[in-house]
Amino acid sequence: MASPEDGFVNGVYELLPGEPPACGGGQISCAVRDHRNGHRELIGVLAARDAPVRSVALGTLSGQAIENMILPIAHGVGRLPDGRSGMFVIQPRAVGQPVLDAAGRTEPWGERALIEHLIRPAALALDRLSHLGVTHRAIRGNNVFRPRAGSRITLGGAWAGPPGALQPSVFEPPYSAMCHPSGRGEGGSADDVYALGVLMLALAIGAVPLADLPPDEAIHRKLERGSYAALAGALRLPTSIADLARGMLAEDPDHRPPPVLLADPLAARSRRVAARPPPRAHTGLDIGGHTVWDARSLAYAAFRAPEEGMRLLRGPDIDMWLRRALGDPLLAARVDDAVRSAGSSHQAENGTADAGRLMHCIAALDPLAPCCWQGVALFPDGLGAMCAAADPQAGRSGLREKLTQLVQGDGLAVWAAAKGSRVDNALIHLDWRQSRVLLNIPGWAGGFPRLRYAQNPLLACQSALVGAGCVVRLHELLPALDANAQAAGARLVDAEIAAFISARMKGRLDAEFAVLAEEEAHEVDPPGVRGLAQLRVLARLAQSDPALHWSNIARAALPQAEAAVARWHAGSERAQRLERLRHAAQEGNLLAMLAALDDPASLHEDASGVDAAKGRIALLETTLSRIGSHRAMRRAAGRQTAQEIAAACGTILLVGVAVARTMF
Amino acid sequence: MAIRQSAAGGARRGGLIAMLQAVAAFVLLGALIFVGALPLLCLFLPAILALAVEREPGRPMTRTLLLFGTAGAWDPLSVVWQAGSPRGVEWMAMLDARAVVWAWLAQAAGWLLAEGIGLGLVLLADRETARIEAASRAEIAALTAEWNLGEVADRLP
Repeated sequence: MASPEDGFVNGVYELLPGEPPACGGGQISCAVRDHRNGHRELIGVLAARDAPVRSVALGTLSGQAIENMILPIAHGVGRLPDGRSGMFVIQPRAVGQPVLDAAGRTEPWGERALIEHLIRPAALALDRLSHLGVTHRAIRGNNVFRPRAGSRITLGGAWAGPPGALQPSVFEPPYSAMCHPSGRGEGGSADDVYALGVLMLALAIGAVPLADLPPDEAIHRKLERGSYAALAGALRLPTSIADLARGMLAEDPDHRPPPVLLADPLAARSRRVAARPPPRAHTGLDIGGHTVWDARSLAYAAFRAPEEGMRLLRGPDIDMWLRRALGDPLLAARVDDAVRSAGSSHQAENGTADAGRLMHCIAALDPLAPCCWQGVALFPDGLGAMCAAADPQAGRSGLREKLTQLVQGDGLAVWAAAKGSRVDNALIHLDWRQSRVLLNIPGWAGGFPRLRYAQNPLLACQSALVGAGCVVRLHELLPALDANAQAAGARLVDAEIAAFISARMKGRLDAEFAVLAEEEAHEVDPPGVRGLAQLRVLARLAQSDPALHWSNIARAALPQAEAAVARWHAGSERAQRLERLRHAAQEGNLLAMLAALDDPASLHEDASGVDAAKGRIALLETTLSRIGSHRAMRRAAGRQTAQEIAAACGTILLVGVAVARTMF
Repeated sequence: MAIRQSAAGGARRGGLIAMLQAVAAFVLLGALIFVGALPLLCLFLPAILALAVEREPGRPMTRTLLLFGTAGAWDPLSVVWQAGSPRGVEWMAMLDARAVVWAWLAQAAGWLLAEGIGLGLVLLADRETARIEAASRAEIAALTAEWNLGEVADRLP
């Protein structure tokens, strides 16, 4: 079967980078040919290393078909000729061009075209998608295609990256836009409806509204005025489109029309939600360089300037502003409770109690806000993708440390409690506790890397030991290690690989990784302990296909494995096992190498034998010491015996002489 | 002063003992001459010397010399025995040079036999001991090498 190194994905889909470039909605993509039937109307979208593909969506949508939406056909590891490799999502090539050009402009669409060619087909597709429990989260100008003028649109693929990660902030609800791109989470179909509403406005006026504003300013404006007013406030829109857009761009997801209702735009227009506009203060409050007039703008400003926000929240200004200027003493009391909250013991230990209080305050000020933690916002279901994005940035923004502190403390639980019935409190609690368990596992099998791989089943292993190869599944690890074994040296398992294996094997090799971490931490290696633990891990991986041999890995692992032979005391046994080990290494048979070293029964016999030998040696030593100390005694005994013999001889002689003289 | 007095007291006691020993020797010599034991003294002089010198319990060497000496001096002793009355003339008849030589040769043979057998037995015991020692060391070395017990080998005697 053709391998990823040959430019194939799953051995079937051939990547054709020389073909005309495919439109991947802003992601790296290339043309693909299905080798089974020669079908060329496919593209492969390459996921970034730190932005894993949507594993749940890919699993759910496998084999599905939704009209007017590009669904994934397959996914797997591939490599482009220029050396870029990673996870490719194979999907049909979009017909036509994006509805907005690269500058975000187009000819304005008419009312009928917007409803018949955009809203209705998109709503039907989103409704079908929501029934499958999946969201799209990639409705934007360059990812919605129209074959030709007057035809229905097709929603592009959205599966080769975290949900909403590539969305321009204007296409996202303000609470999603303020999140880290990888932390927006799966969201709900209401978020797709919002993006569709923004796209509808953009197509109605021929340009993306607020496109010239920085994202931060656009979010401020949306929060302060409301999304519809901020995006379409001064525009002259057809009444039906304005009514639709007002509902689709509601701040509260519960107030947006569901996709099934959008499929009948007349019904959607008639659905008026009595959403009360947010109360506005009669005096502004300066915070973080902005003057805020309402509670949710205050929450956003406190999130953007956490230190100043916490300082103001501790003082009397915000309390007075909430009570007197905004006229909301209940809100002021809730914020006061949040400011006075003690925080968890973990937060008190690592000095993040203030961050916890601020997050609590923001959640109290704006119940729709995401979890805002130390200047980073995310929704809990975006934690996995955030973990994947965090590692490369560990040295720059400390995102990894922030996420670690968030999970170690009770920030997510407090946020979920503040959100009340808007979120699934029990599910968030369960996920948070599971994440914290993984984070607290000591050694290489736990910690942040384990959490990252556990949260992202299709994230590539980020160890340097796998070289340039992309290892997503467990069975891809040994080939990558074998290809890179000569450069890697004797150490073939590091913390990243250990976390990767632990996450994929549900902790079945945690004992070996604990040994490896212990040896690494103390930099001592009792005879062969590290080598044997490493060999156990490698052999366990090789068990999936015992017929395959890994010569490079075996050769690299041999020096450390040889040290494990010293666990046997018997010289003959050692020599025999060393011979077996070297022979197996020459063949590249990791299982045979492990069998030569991992033999508890033989080790038990050896221990018994060495005890017997020690006993025998002790007995011989006693004999030798007795020989030394009894030498004089033996000589005295010899002389005494000689005297007795001589006396006996004398007696015999005397009797003989007497007899002889008497008789003769 | 006390040391000098103690040394003078020791010297006086030593002289007294020597004098008493000399008196005892004269008394014994007189008694021997009186009973006619001088010839016996001549015949068994090696055994008597051994009796004086030997310090081992039971005087085994003296016993051996007496046995061998008696066998060697059988003839003169039998003459005295058969004479019935131990008068000085018969006793002196024992002082025949040939009889004394035979008696002394017999005692020398006894001494040689006792010493020779003793030496032989000691040599045999040493040889057996050396064999056992070598075998034990070889076995310890083999066990140490086979079972990788270097620390045991280091503390061997």
